[in-house]
Amino acid sequence: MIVTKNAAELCVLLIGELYGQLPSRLFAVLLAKGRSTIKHLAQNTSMGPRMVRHGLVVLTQQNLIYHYTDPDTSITHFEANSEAAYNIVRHGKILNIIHRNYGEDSARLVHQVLNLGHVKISDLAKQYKTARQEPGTANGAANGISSDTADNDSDYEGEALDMVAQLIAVGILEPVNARTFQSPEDVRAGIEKDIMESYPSGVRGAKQKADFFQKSAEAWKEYQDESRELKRQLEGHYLFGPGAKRRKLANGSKTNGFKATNTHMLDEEKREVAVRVNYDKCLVELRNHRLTRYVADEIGEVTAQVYEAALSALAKNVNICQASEKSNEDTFVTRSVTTMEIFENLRPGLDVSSGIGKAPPTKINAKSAERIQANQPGHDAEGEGEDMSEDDDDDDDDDDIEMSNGVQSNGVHETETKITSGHNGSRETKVKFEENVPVAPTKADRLQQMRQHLLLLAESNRRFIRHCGMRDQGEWTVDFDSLMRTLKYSEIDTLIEQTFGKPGLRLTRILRAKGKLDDKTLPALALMKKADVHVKMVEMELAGFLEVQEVPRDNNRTASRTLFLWFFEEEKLLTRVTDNTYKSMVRHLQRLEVERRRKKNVLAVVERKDVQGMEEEKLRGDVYNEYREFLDIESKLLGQVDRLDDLVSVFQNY
Amino acid sequence: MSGRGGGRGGARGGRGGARKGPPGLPWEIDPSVQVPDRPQETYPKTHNPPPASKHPLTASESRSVRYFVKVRRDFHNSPLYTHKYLAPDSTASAHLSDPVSRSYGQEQINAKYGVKSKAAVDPFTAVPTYSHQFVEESRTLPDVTARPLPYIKEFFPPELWGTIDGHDGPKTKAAATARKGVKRKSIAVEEDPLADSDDEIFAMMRKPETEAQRRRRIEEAAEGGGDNEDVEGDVDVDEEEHEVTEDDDYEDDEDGGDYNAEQYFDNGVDGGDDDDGDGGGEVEF
Repeated sequence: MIVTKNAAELCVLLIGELYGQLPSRLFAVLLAKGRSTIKHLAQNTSMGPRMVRHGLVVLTQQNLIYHYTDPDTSITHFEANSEAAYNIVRHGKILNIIHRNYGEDSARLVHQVLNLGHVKISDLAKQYKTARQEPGTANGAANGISSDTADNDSDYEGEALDMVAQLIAVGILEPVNARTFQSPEDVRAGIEKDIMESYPSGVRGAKQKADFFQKSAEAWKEYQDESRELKRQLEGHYLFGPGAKRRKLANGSKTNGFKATNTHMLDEEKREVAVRVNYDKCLVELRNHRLTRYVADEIGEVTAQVYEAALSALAKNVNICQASEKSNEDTFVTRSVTTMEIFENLRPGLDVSSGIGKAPPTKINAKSAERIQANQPGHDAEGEGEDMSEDDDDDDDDDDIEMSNGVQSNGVHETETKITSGHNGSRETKVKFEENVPVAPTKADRLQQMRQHLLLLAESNRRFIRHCGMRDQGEWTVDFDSLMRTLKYSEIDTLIEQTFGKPGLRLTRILRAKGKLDDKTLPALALMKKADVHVKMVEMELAGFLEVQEVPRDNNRTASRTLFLWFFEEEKLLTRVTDNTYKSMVRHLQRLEVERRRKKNVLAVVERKDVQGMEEEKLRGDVYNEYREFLDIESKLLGQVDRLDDLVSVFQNY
Repeated sequence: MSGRGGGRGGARGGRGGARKGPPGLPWEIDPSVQVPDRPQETYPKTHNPPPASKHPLTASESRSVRYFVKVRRDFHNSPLYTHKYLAPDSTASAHLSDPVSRSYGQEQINAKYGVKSKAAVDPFTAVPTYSHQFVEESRTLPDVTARPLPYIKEFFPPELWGTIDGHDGPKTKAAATARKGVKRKSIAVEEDPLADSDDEIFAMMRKPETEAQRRRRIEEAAEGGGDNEDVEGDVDVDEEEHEVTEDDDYEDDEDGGDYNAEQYFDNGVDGGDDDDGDGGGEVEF
């Protein structure tokens, strides 16, 4: 995240909105001045050091700053973590998506973690218990769990522990260690310093240098693996183990299988581990949701649900949206999932037979519909054509109706075409599949219909999904990189169209396709009048959407002897648009403050201890109406901020 | 076009005027060009985004907002939250529609925030009334010790350990007594049992530390260093406190406390709803 003026302002406002005035003041100074000690902070804020220390405790507790204590002087330096501060705006969305994917209770638990910043698992379980036992929050709809057991006390705690284990396994919560509170640069510097100690006379020569780099890379990797250790232990049980499937299918609605004897997964020692919310993984979940929305817009609701199932099957292996230096390479490789795995993730109530048109079998070119692209479109896909033609199922449209046949032929293919890197879960599902077929014939129909949806997705020109293999009724993968790039373009296109109209959009698209274009060729290509083109181009250039480059044809540099090349610079535009978006988010939050001032008197009454929570009964009619008005405005403003954040995420984070 | 420039040009010193140059040059006057000499519109045509009411929040979006509001409310009810507290004159002068008046430089920004002290109390509203018990006291300093769950000390830098242990209170009389070893009339200490017990613990806990620190300080002084006060940032906070805080001008601890105007009301009424922040009779914002 590039911290521009607007971004800094936004971070400060967000912290002020959620955590209060003192932390936000400190954060503003930290952003403006960079790394500071307590003394510097006190100087810059003209607050007492005691106050600064208290504010820093809050910021550290909420994981909003990095700190580093110099071992020689034992002075601590603090540094703002702007990413974490920005992520405050996503708290609502994160909880919403967790509610959706993992159930209401998980959302409640994550809510606690968000409020507490970082917390030991044992403490978290206790806190969860007390929160649930409070009469206000413990609703009667505690489904299943509290009704069939006598004592709630042990139950809530055990339930919380189990949920924590599951959430760590999927990666929503991550363990914290002391080094998480150092900025990545400090950690790296520390590692390098440690290694340097083994070279008392300094690193000399190419060989030593290479050796040094290798060692530091290894140590870095080790450092990252350290935090994933617990996740790895747990995910064996939760994601790929025998109990995983039922739990996945339960998916929100809690079944009695949920509180199985899993609490032993977190033994006493592990309960002392501190956890916090892992925003990277949450972003992956949010991205999946966003992509689902795109599909719903583009194709249809049912297909979107199928796509959601596919994405959540894929998301098991995706821990981070963008490969950065923070992540290892191997965590980022997108793997493929089989049709069966997607099917397991499908919501049980979904009617997959709807939402897709029917065409007579003769009208469908089955071969092209079932086409397999083993590699990303950028790569050359040699040799896959033969596999495709070998496939006997392609000939009839309602292929794979005879399930057993399909499986056998696919089994053969699996051995000879190692198309994609399969992962360990796939073989197991195949076994399961074979036992499923005879039991539930309707399941086969359902599977088939779902497959049609997937093919539809693969056919879309946005390339939402790629059919990349034949094993187990077909393998699917999503090329997130290229997909997100298309979506970025589509967002930019919308923006340009809204601001400059159709002609503007047309011109930028031409420029994007052709690269740099000169004044004279552009009108010809766009089939527009030269004057119109010029007016539009200048308009867009002034707004910063286009760039122009002058290339003089001789030494005189006269205007008539100069080429003017227009071009469209994506990176620059993206940062610019993002910055503008930050700005409008800032404006929304400031506007909220204005609204609060307007309704100051009402809000003062509402915040009274005897009124809070039962506004409707306590407040006088007109005051209550005014309060409702304010709530309406607030939700509009915050909702708009959320929408703007969607845009930022598409541009920067997904 | 009528006069061939001579007269008018001459009046202004020769050159210029409306002389027509040789044809073909860029500054040749083209009668077909219409110069837009009308003033520009005050509000040029701009793109107006569709109003929000055209796209109401979807169910999922409004649920996100609700969750955000819930998170916010929960944190605001937690002891770590600090309320907004602006300087009284800045809120009064700022126009309602423009809460973000420009400020230049850190000093002006800092001046916007109020300092909560006895001196800043509004005498017209400060007299307690019945309904005050329902109004949450606005907090400018997070109540670090009141957090229900323990802190994980290893994640905090050593400089903050004193604060999370609750040792970073205002300079109280008991502490001052313990430090200086001065025997004094302890009116406040006796009448404020809460603050008292706190301070006693504080004094007891810091006693061995001061010994160790004292030795270290002596060593440092012997070496000639010791210019960095922050090194022993653990508890020893009082000296620097006074250099920087501008509002902290109650230096009356030293003069025996014979007449302590701040104590006058505090001890008379009750210490019931006082938190330990102002238990010692002195409020530091």
